[in-house]
Amino acid sequence: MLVQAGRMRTMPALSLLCQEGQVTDLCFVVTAGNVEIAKTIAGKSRALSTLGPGSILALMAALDGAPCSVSMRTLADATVVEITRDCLLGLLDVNQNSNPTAAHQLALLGIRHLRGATDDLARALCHAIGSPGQEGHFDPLELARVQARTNAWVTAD
Amino acid sequence: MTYQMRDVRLFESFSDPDRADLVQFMHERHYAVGEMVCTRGEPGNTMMVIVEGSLSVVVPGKDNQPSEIARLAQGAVLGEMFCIDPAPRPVTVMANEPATVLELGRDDLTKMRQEAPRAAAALIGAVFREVLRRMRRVDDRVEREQFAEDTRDLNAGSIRAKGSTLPGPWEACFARLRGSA
Repeated sequence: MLVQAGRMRTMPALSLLCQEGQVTDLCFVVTAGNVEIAKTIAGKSRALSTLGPGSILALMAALDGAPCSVSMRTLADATVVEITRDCLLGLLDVNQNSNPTAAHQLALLGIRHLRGATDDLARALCHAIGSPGQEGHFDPLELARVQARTNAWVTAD
Repeated sequence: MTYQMRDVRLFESFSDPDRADLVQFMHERHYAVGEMVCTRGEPGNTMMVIVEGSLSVVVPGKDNQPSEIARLAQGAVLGEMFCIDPAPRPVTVMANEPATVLELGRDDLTKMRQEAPRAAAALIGAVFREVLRRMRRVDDRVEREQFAEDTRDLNAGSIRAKGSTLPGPWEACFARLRGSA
């Protein structure tokens, strides 16, 4: 249902779908190829994960209008479905669309990712706590992986 | 049932007819003082709205003693995600005083999608927006901690702590972010 609402685009390798810090009103569903999720940590871009077909990218940034906290680019030629914020909002607006199927799909994905992200954050915290008498530190990469999850929602997991 | 639920924040975008439809699919439950509404770890597949009284949200604290992390009053919603995606309850909830709760289960939502699709769409959309809001809070928290790590700035709001267990306030934070309290 989500895919039907958007516009199919073929992207060459290394195309930037969304840059860290960028405000976007587009989200993407990957239908072919792979997309790398990366974040700048201590001044260097670090790859956090690679997402394939079925992944939904930049949904949170597209909907709430806040800057994307990771970058997303295609690793090889890829096909994505581009969905605009207005289209997403239309799917969620009962006055425009009283069929709850798309909203249910989105809610289910969102809930699972929220639960996963908070579990990741809890694990990062437990590692950061350290042993008694010692000060703990977060692993920046672990923290960034939480953001990879909040910013890129994968249908496959 | 005559509950209007106009003061419930989760339902603020609902029209009156949608709100009335929703109530028709909910079940009224009554709890005596000290009675358990749900227990941490048990399977959860319902959301609840407090229409009278108040409930305590409890997690294991120091030495595994129950620690209250929130007190929910009339109009509060708990477990709104569970009727869409069932999962073990991360917290225990008990009545502090005689309380009345309206409960909506996953099966009720399935029935509602068939018989009152507009109200079901309004509810699911509202839960989705709440999820999005909490997701952004997780993201913002991570961003702040990332910044603190980068600058080695040990500010007071940092998650960093000493000890070997998750500190109580963070149990509370995660419970809230996950939508259980």
